[in-house]
Amino acid sequence: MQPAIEDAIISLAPRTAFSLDNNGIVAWDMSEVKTNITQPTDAEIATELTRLQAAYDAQAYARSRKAAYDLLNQFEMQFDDAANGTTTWIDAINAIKQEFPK
Amino acid sequence: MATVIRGDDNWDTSIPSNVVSTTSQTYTQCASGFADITGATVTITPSSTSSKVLVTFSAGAMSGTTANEIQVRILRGSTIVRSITRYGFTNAGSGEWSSCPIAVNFLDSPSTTSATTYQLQMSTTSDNDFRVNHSQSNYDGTAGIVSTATEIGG
Repeated sequence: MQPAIEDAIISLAPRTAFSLDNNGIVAWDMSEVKTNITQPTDAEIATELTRLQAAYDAQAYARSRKAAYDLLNQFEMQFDDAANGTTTWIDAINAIKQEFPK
Repeated sequence: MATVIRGDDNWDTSIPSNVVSTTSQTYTQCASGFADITGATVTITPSSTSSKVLVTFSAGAMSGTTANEIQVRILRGSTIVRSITRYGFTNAGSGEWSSCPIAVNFLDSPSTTSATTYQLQMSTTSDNDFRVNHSQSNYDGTAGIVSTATEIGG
């Protein structure tokens, strides 16, 4: 899931209950069990969201690879390769890695 | 109450006309310990002390991480009128989410003609992640949380 403002706040203040709307945080640390973590500023939230977004973007290749891997019937390919002496499975994996490089 | 004539030509005065509904687009992040779900609140003034009030809350919600127990309760003022200790249980893997929609109702007998406020509260165990009305930072548009109180009888 692409990171949003909520994720940045959760990252800065884990286990803290809060409410949010388009105007920003409207309630903070309102659970019966207080964390007493100071409400982050808009600037702190923006900085954390930028960091989370960069980490998410850095994994784009992995998400693309996984989507392509999931389309393969890999066990069947491996069985057929072992039975027939072919390399369809490793060829397909290498092609996906080349299509979505790190 | 509204008075209507029934099919058998008798008058029926039990049709509710006192209905209050609120909506909210606010997102709430729940944690360990009960917290108000912001926007999940409704206030009704019964016309009779013998009236019952049907209160309902609905919203979308999602749960992450493992072994996440979701608890819910309805408060009338500061009084707990309904409590569900295991409303939901999810066991999502890393980066995965489970749907846990909120559809909670209660038929209350408030025995008052004063303004009566009902509030939804939720909690998770083990400080896990539970998100109500999550909308990826876009909280415009149609109502995400709907809270309704309907007076019945009286």
